[in-house]
Amino acid sequence: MTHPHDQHDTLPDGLIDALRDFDGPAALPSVEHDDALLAQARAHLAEIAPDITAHAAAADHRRRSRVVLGFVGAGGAVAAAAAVTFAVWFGMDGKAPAYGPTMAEQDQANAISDPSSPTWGGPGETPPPSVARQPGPAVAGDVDGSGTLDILDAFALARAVERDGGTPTRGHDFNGDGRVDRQDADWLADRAVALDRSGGRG
Amino acid sequence: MRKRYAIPAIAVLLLAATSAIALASGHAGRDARNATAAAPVKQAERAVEAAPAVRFATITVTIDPKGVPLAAYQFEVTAGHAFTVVGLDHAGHPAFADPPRYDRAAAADGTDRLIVADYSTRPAGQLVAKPQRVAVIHAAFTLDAGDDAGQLTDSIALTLTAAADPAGNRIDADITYDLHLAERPGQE
Repeated sequence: MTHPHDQHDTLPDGLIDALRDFDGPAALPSVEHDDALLAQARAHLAEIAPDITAHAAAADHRRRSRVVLGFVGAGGAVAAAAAVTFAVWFGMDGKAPAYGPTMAEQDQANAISDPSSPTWGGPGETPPPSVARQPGPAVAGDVDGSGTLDILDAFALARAVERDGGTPTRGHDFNGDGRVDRQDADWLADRAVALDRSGGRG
Repeated sequence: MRKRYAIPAIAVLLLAATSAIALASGHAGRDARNATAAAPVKQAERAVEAAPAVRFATITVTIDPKGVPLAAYQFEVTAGHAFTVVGLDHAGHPAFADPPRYDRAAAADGTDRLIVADYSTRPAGQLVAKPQRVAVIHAAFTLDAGDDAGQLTDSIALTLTAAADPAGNRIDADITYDLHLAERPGQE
């Protein structure tokens, strides 16, 4: 027994063409078509399930925020590190870190160790030969030729005045009254003990 | 996931490393700056807490010419505290009947050093060759807050800068002094 449909030996032409195209290259949808389809799906989802749509939007926002915060945090950390470095190395009033001598201290050390330096003269330092006491200009009032003005100059002049009876001596009229006498010795004595005079002792 | 936290992690490590280096190298310097900045404040606090005190004292000066008649002398007084000279007595010997010479103006204004000197043209027979008192200095010392009598005593020093015989020759002599502090400021 044969079914009536089995009596057809050939397939319809449309079906044959469709079967032939089945293994051929598929027609890909365009990007615009995808976007349109996605927007349509989202709109439809928003209508039928608004809670799910809001949750998805929030998740997407958090993901974007994490990315942004990651870059901001990285930039901030680098800026903070740079700030700390500048504060430490350049923010100490121009002074170097405490583990080494300052430039001023180094300069001072160099000056003391350098005999030719004009700033030599640290306390307790032995003067180098080049700066040891040298014959300087004559000290005013240095009657006894000791190189300094002290009470012994006044004493020498007083003895000379008493011995010579006040005879004028060239260069010993210190008070400028035109004669050399005991007052000139007193003038020298006052100069010897003065604290603010320049030259000589004191 | 790992890539997302890589940049912040590297930044944190960089910050930690630079902070550690900064703390290790700049800790002492920062302390020094803090101390320097706090110094004026501490000075002001100390000034408020206690005003400088005045302490009166007498310094009796003796020179030993070691057997040579003493005809002239000069010595210098230095102190770590400012002082004013209230008065200066002579030695009491006829050869040095007048008060010694010193810078009266500077001594009255206040100083931390003083030069005292005198001479006599008397003949050797009228001069003293043994230890003799040459001067008594009455001074008012200004002490910083917290300074005590011991610190004042330690800060005073006398140096004999010149001594001569009747012929004007420099001689070797010794100088000593006796410091007497008033019991209370303003009272002998």
